[in-house]
Amino acid sequence: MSVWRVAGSYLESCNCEAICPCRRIDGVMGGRSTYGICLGALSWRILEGHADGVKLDGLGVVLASRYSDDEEGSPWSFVLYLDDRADEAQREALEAIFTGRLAGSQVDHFPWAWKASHLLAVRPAAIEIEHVPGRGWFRAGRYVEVRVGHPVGSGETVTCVIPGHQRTGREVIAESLDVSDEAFEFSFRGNCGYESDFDYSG
Amino acid sequence: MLTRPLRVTVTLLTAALAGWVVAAQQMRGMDAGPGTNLGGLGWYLGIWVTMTAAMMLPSAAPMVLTYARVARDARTWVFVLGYLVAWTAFGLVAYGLYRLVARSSPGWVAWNRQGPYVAGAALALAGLYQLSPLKKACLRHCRGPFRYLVHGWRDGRTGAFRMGAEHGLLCVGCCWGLMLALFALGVMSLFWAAVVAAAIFAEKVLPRGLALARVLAVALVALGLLVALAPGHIPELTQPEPMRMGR
Repeated sequence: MSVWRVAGSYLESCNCEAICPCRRIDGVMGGRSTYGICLGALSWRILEGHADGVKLDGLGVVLASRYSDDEEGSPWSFVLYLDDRADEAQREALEAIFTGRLAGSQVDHFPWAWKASHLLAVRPAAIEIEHVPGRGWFRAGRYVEVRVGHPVGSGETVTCVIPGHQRTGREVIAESLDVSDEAFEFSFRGNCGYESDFDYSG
Repeated sequence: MLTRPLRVTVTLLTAALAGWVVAAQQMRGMDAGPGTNLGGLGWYLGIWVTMTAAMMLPSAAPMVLTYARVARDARTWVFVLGYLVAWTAFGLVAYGLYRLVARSSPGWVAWNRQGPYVAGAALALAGLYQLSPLKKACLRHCRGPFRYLVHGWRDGRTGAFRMGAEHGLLCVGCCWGLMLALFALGVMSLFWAAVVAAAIFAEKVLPRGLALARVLAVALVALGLLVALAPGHIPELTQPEPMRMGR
């Protein structure tokens, strides 16, 4: 039996042009991020989740990140936003899972867990997530807001490492990607995004 | 090949078993009941570490196992080392106190004078401690390893050692009363060591451990009264020779 599991829907957006070079297209690996520096925001809506008896159903997690392909090993800097409706035990479990400190399948999906990374902050935030297919959006307090404009209608199979290359998903165009925090300040229009689902356990 | 959790369990239980075997050999004929002479520091340290490993590793297994299984960056043996270091520190404090009392060699602690009352009072104190909020908090910690691992996480090798030592201190906080009871009953008695180890295991690992801690409180106070008033009626209690303590 697994000690913990989180499963639900996933949506992300970054400053790359669609289709994002970090995806696999028909199984073929992409390359360097479009502008050398990747700035993005990721979101997970947990539909079913538990960690050692603590229920995680219905909670949301958002992550804002930056990495540069020109830095040695392209280490990730990231801020983790945890649902402010979560109690202490739930927040601790979410932090341990989403930073990659807990052992489990998520480690193979989170570049910030398998690479060198800097966790800049963990913030409780009012997290709203509506992962409507093709029209999804999410918000983490006053820090992060992402809105999807429309899906990218390519006939190819596009997969992303964070939900997992074995899962189906869809490339989208983000109408807007806005992040405003001490560490990050960026705003993009019409860049790439990706929607899928996830199921991590350990 | 054994999986990691299984390997950890097997190693811990084997180490505990080896500890019991060595302790049984080393302590043969050493039991002099309450206030047993602890011998020189070197010998004492050796037997103390062996004994605590034997007594504590099975009940520490759930914490160690959760650590090994749940933490991606687990350094299990460093964690266990930190844990044993905390218990060794407790053993040294106990030894220091013993030496202090032994040096002044007060005649009144002799078994044929006030000795039974001292041992009985120590047992009663251990019993009362079972009911304290501190005991409850420490026992809750020991019974909820996952929460401690996500809450008290520290990175790296030093982090693993510190986490182990911290867990050890909380474990001492949980069990010092029961260990005091062991000193009162005869620290070199394999029988009492096994009874105390079983009690510790039961309250830490079995369901309803928190309730069991309160049952043990009553048992300890009752045993304390028995030792104080009718020490000759406890079958497994070795009667110390008069003036044995302090040589």
